[in-house]
Amino acid sequence: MNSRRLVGEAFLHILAFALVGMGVVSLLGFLGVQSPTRHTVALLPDSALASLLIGTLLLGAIHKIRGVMAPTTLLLLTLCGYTLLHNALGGSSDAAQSWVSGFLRMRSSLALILAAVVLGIHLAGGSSLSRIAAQLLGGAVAILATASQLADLLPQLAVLSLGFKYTSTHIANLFSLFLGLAVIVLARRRSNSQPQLDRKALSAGLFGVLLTCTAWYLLSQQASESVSRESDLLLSRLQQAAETELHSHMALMQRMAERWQVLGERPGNRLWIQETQSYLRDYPHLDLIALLDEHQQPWRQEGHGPQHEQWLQDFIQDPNNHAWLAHVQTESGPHLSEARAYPQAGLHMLIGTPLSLADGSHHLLLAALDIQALMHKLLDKQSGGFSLQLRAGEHLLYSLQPDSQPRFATQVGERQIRLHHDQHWQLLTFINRPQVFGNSGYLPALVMLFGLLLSLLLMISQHLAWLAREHARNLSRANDQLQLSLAQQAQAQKLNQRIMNFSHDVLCSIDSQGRFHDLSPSCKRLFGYRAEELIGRRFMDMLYPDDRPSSGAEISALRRGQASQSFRNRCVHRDGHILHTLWTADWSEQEQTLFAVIHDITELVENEAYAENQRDILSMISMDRPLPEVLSALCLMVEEQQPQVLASVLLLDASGQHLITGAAPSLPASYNQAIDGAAIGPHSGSCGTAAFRRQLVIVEDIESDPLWENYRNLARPHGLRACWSFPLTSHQGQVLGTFALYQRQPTSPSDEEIQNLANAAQLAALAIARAQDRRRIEESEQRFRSLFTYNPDTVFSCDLAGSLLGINAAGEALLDLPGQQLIGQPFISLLHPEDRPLAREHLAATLKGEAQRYEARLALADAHLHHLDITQLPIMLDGQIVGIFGIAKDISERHSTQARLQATLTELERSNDELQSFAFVASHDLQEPLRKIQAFSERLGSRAAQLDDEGRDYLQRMHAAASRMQTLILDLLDYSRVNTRGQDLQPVDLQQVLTEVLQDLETTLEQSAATVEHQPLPMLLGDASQLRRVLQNLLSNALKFQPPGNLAHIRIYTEVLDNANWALCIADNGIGFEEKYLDRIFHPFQRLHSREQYPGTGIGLAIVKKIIERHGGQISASSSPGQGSLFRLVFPTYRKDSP
Amino acid sequence: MNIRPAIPILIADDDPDDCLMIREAFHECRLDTPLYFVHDGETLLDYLRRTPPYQDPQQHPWPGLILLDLNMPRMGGRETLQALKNDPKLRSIPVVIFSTSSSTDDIQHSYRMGASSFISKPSSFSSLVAVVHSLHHYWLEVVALPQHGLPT
Repeated sequence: MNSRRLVGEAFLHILAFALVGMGVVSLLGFLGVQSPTRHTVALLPDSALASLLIGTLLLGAIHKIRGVMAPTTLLLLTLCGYTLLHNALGGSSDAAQSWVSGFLRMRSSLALILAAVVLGIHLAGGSSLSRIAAQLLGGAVAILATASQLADLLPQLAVLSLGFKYTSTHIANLFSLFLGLAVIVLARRRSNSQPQLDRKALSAGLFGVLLTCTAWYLLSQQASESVSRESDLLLSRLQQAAETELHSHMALMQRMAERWQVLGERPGNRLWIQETQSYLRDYPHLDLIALLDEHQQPWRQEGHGPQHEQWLQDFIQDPNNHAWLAHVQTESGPHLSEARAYPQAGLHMLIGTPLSLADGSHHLLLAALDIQALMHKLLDKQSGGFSLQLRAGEHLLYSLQPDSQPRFATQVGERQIRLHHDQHWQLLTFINRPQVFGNSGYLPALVMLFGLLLSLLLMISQHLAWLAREHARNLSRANDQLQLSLAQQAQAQKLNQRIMNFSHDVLCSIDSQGRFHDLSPSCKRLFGYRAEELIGRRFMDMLYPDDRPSSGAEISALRRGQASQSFRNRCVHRDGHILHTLWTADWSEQEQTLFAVIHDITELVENEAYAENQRDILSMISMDRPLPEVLSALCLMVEEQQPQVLASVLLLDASGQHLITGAAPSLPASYNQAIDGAAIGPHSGSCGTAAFRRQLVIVEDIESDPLWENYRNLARPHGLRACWSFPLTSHQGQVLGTFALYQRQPTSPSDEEIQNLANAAQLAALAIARAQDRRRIEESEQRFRSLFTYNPDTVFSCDLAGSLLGINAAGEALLDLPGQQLIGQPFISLLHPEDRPLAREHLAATLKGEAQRYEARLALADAHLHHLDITQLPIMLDGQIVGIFGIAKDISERHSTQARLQATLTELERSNDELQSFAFVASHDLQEPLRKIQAFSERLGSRAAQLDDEGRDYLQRMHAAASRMQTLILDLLDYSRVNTRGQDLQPVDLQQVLTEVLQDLETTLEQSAATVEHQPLPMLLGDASQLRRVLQNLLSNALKFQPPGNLAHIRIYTEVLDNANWALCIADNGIGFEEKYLDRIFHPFQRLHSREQYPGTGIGLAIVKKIIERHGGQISASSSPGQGSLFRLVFPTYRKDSP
Repeated sequence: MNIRPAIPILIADDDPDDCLMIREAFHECRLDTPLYFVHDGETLLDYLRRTPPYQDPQQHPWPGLILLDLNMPRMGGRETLQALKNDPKLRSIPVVIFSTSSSTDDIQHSYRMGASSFISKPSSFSSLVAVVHSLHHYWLEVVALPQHGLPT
């Protein structure tokens, strides 16, 4: 740290502390003193306040605390302003009261200086320009202070004095000077500097300063006290002396007066002269002795000179004195008059003594006393440096000023001299310059100065000590760190050493000639030589001859400065075997040495080779090489890896029972042939057993192992002694074959060999599985291909845009175009334009995933329109639609057939309808003439009297025929109405229908005494009225076709046939019929009996059949003549929930 | 026995044979009900509305009952029935449908249209006679018919 800055900093701090301390101490002192006088107060309270404030301001300025600077500045400026103003308005500050403290005001010059300093402090913190201004201001202040101090010697500068008395001026000068310097130092400080003094230094400084201030204050107090004491002494002495003198003079005059009084008359001339002369002589202060008569006129007077007589005259004539004179005359005893100064003789006072003569006249004996001479004599030049004043009230009687230049007259003490009566004189002492008492007057200021200096030095030294301590601390810390890092380094080095020693890689350095300079101990492992043996040998010697050129080239490249890369080569071990190494090297230009790390990668290389082989096999598999080729390559690979073994792959045949040779390139062909087709089983050699057990089978010695019992003699001629077999399984767990290794010595495999075997087996399994898969795919493809190719219908495939990707032969024939031309065309364009929008819609729907079936027409060159039934399917691959399959059937023929059929159907329907209505109308209209025939034949019958029997018979037959015709027509109508007048099928309660029918037949049943036994009938879907008809017909048939005299017994019951159907059975005990007539009875108008035997038109059962068939049922009957008949009506089961 | 004035029956039928039959049947029943025949719906309405040539009320008296056949040319029985029942003046005359048809539709329709009853023409004369007898007895003896001329 800059020592100048340190000093400047310390100085500023000390000054600030001092100002503050001084202010505080002075204020405390002022407040503590009961009756402060100008003399006792060391520093004016205003000044003390100002000092405090400026000290704080300075501190704030040093530490750049804005919060402190602003208020103090404000207060200071207010104080200075007030002082200046008050001083300007109220006159000099020497005697006036300050409103701030109630004591004397500061001097204007001090206020000005303070204001200037404040301004300077503020400017010092600003820009460089203001800084310069501040420095100038500071300089001016310092100069002013110096000038003020020099005012001692040069009275012209007295106007600048800063204090109100000497001591305070000195202090004020000192501090003003310091303040000026402080402003300069502050201004010269760098703007970004921070106070750097440590706490201890500051506190030491503060302590020193406080001590100094206290000492100064105490000293100044003491000084003032001693001065007070001195003045007291002087005053008391003077007082006593003056009183004594006066009294003695008064007594003298009294004596004189008494003497003359005794005389009783006015003294004679000679006596008078002699007395007065002797008095005047003895008492030099008496200037005149006079005797006044009762008219107060001087009768006799003697004095030192005529001026005194004149003085007396003036005195007597002065009217102010008449009272006194009168008073004295009347009184007894000497009296003192007031001191009067008249132009001739100066200040005198009279001692008057009344003299009453024998003649009763009151005379007055007066003696004029020269006060000043008296005082002078009393003082006898022993004023002790004090200025003295004798006052009688307002009048100054006497003053003594040892100094020629009284600048600060401070009143020190006051005494009252009691005179005769109530006259009082005041004796006042003043002090001007304290140094008059000796140099002790300077003491407080000097103490202050030196104290401050000492504090400064203390602060500086403290700070330096702190700095030294800091420095020492830093050093020790640095030292510790250094130790730490050294320790770390040592550790690192040890670690490196250990690494060097224990690493498997060889760390070596090779010099510029290619000789080993240094090697790590691991070279023994790698190369077989110890480090010492290799040092000095050329590294090229270690390399395999073929690799020397390439490695040499790499090294040269490194030496030229290329970036370091690792390179491989082969090295020769001491015992001759070759190992692969990886060299990582770096050339150091500085040391001209190649640093290399040699890593043994033999295993890595072997593994790489192995991996590469595997990759080759896999690529062979992926390229779909024929299976035997792949398997041979695999066997060769395994044999290459393990030179002693012979490998073979056996495949499981389609039956899964026999192993056939897959590949065995190194085994003798005869052996392979011999074991070809061997069955698998628990004891069928290694391979068979492995395939059987689905486990690895290791046969160490073929000769002794029981598994090879049957096959031993096959293996022996070829010298095969050990066989290890691994079953090959697909990922679904199927056995595909076996992979076997043969050895010519009995050996058991190591774990590594088993692992290799397993790997190879996996590859083989993969190859076999893939070959099988491929075959399956090919087969499947061929199968599906035939669907495409041989389909008699057109099969085509499209892409997502609808363009044809492929079309089969049938399609080509249909379109009469070769497939090549069609591929790429949108298939919609092949369709008839009118059908294209529909086709597009269906195409879009198919692309969304729905199979579509629709018809469209082909647009072909010939006019013949081909109708196609097109089925479109989306082609899904992994859930994505990738195209469309289409099958187009040529349905032109079918279409035309259908069209014809449709036409026929329409025609039929039309004619059917015509016939229906015709039938209806016809039957209806036919009835009408029939009725007439019947009616009129009946009428005729009533008038048939004129007819003969034959005629009546003819009439009868005619009537009967007409009736029959009517019945026939009605029956025909009924029959035709079954389907046309049928109502929709609704749920019908058959039980209800039966009940109604039985009610209708009630009369008939009663008449024929027939019994009907019936079971509850279920609900069914049907037409109620038609069903009623059915039951009616069947029941009436049952009642009608009875042998005469037989009581009809009808049974009605139900049978459940299966889940879907049930049967209603109506059985009677009638005449029955032969079952060969089963068909006939259900035909319309077909009867088995004549109308004489049983009435009826033969339409009843036909109607029943028609109705039943309309209901979706069937009717059948079974009967035998004389055994009654059973009519079975099969209905579909009515389920309430089915629609 | 009450002397009642003979209430005429108006019969609408296009078939002359049927008309003959009816006349004969009434004759057979020894009933002297005056019968008046029209042969289609329009003529019937003309008769009832006294349009020429049916203006003479003496020659063409107001019927107490109308027997209406359904199948008639020009205006069939169904439309005639509807017209009769829509006309406030003619509404109150009881109309008995007398038709060869016996289809349920015709029967339902007739009743729905406001016919008083529906009789299928019987096929034999004797049945016809019985029907006529019942008809006469019911409609002209048992039932009180509305009087013509009074406000309806």
